[in-house]
Amino acid sequence: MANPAAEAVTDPVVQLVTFRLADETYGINVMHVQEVLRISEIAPVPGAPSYVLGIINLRGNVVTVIDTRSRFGLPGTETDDSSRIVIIETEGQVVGILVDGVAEVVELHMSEIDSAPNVGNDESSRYIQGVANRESDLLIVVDLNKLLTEEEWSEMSMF
Amino acid sequence: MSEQRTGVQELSQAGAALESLLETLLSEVPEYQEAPAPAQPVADLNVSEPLPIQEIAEPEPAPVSVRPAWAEGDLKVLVVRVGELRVAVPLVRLSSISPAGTGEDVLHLPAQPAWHRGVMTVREQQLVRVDPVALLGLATERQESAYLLVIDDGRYGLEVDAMEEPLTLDSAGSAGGSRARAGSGRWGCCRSRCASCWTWMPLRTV
Repeated sequence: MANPAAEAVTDPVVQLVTFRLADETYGINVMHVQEVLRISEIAPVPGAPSYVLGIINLRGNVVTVIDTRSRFGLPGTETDDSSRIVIIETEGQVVGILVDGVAEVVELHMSEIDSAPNVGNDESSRYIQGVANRESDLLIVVDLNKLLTEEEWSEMSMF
Repeated sequence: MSEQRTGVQELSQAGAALESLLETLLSEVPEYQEAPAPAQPVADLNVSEPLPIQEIAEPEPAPVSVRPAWAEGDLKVLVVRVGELRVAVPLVRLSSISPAGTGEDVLHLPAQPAWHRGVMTVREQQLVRVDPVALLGLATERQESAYLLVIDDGRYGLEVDAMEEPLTLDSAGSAGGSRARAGSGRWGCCRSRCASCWTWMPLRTV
């Protein structure tokens, strides 16, 4: 008989917020997610890096919004009613990431995240933690800490 | 009187001698210089006869074999067609053959090279779909494929359009068997691009 306590130590469960982007499903650790917003006015920042979509006013705080499609090398698209800004906190900063839509929160064992298929450019896809198979659907697990490089995170802090 | 004169003359001579001695002692002595060494006779150099150059025998580099150990000797391959290419996949590295599946079965990872055609689950194992044409750096507009040749213990799936026939390649790269045909045997053509995919080779373009 399996010991649940021992299993939790050796194979912890992680909760992921899933979102859609270019017909694929991505998951990020729920512990990084502060809230999910509908699209509001995003003010562009002159001279900002290409992956910075602009800034928003979140209850008096300025939050930088990252163009996730651009960051992932995906073609751009117009936002619609299902588009969302996921406010995340990582690397000591609060930023927003624009996604095509937020789906649900799922639970996965860490052992279910397979990092083997990632054979592409290590630099460009370093933020892909792995791929998880969930109810016959595949899910791309994103490591938010590696979404930007350290230099880029430092650059973000100046906005 | 004469004795006095003689005494004065002696004193005068003694004084002159003393004065001469003092001048000699107080005069500057030229610095000591070593005498130049006598010139050595120049040896006759026979410039018309150069010294023989000793050739340093460099060890010849060992021939680099691009053929893996498992491919020594005769090699059984399965010939498949990928676009305009005919590709030979060694049977020894072939795990299984699966239907290519539909687009819904494939998960496309962002920021991947052109040959990376996504990830899918085959027999409860995730594999990377590989476009062999793009892997060779050739332009490709292929969208659909018919089969996946699963290789490397299920880690990769080569997208192919059609399967032809099994052949036996001898060590020189020629094809034998019931329908002997020559092949180019370009080993290692894709090794630098994907080491794990070095289980196949293009026979020739048609």
